Amino acid sequence: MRLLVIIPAFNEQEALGGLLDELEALPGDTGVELETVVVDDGSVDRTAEVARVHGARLLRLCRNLGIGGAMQAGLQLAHRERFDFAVQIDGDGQHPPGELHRLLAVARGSTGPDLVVGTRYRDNPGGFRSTRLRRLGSAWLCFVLRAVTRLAISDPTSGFRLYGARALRLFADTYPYDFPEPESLAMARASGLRVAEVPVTMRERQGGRSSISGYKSIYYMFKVTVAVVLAYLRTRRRGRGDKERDAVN
Amino acid sequence: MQSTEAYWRLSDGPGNWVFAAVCLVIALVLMRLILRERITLQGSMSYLVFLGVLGGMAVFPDVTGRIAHALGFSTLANFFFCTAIAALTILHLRALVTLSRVHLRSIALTQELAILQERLDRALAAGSALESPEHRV
Repeated sequence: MRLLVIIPAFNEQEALGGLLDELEALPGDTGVELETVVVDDGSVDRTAEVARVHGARLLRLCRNLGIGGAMQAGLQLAHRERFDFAVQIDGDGQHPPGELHRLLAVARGSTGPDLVVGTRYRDNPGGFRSTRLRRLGSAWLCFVLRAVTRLAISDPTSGFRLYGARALRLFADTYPYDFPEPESLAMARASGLRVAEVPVTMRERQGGRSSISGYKSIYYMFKVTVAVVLAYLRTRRRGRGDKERDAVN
Repeated sequence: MQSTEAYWRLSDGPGNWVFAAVCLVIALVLMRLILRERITLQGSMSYLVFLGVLGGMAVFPDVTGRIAHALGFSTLANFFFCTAIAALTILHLRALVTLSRVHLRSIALTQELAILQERLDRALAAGSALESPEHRV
């Protein structure tokens, strides 16, 4: 089984080295062939150099596309090279590689979901939890997702997630560009993908700054709410169109 | 108070030649930009049509007045502003669609370039490894 670890990184020279060391130090799981690709999202610091020095594969985007564009580049690579799974680990070090086995265990389980989301809000009494404002925003997005897509998920903004083959096919083709996590869940649901979540321990970012702070968080909430509704409707419509085309052919 | 008929007759003037001249100047600037390949003819056609319509309205106020009257506008100015706002909205939407398409294309090309570059780097690295002394017979 081949697994591609995708690390989208924008000016993450401080945290990236440690993260790649942690991945390198992971105990070998029998039957898992692990590769790591760093997607350098137009960084102006030494992110690319750090990735090269640590021997990771490197996709260098010539301009900053944002987290969605960077992730999609990694997902396209995984899909084209026929990886069985791809996992997203943020370059800021929030997602401990040591928790990867939890996502893998669920993905390789009997139900075999297409998308496994690591949640920090379930069965996680001692682990890192984000600020109260962020938890409030997350709760709102949970409500929107449940109301629109009937998907019950406790941490819709989590970027720690594992993509199966069907999810890779979907997201290599279309992936949201701005604040993509909740929107991609709506797309997954509208496409009939099976989504599961698993409790994981996350930690505070090991370097860099969050792109969502201050007044941007208000814009974020508004934009994501609209985006979730539109993404769900658009993906459902596209799915119906594909089915009709298949029926004609 | 003038009757409606009298109002429309008032618009039978010599035409607003100054406004028509402004439209013509803008059209000439557009043509110049097209000739210098700063903008494309395809993207500018709607602007040229819009300027043509506005210029026509300025030169032939009588015809414009009759059309406005037929459409139920009580004053010529209202008709003019409504036409201009509608046309500018259409032009803006067209520009937005084009811009979004170019933006998405640019994202796809950036991703494609990065993937191909990585593939090339790996191939070159593999090639230089094969040419290293240890691999030579």
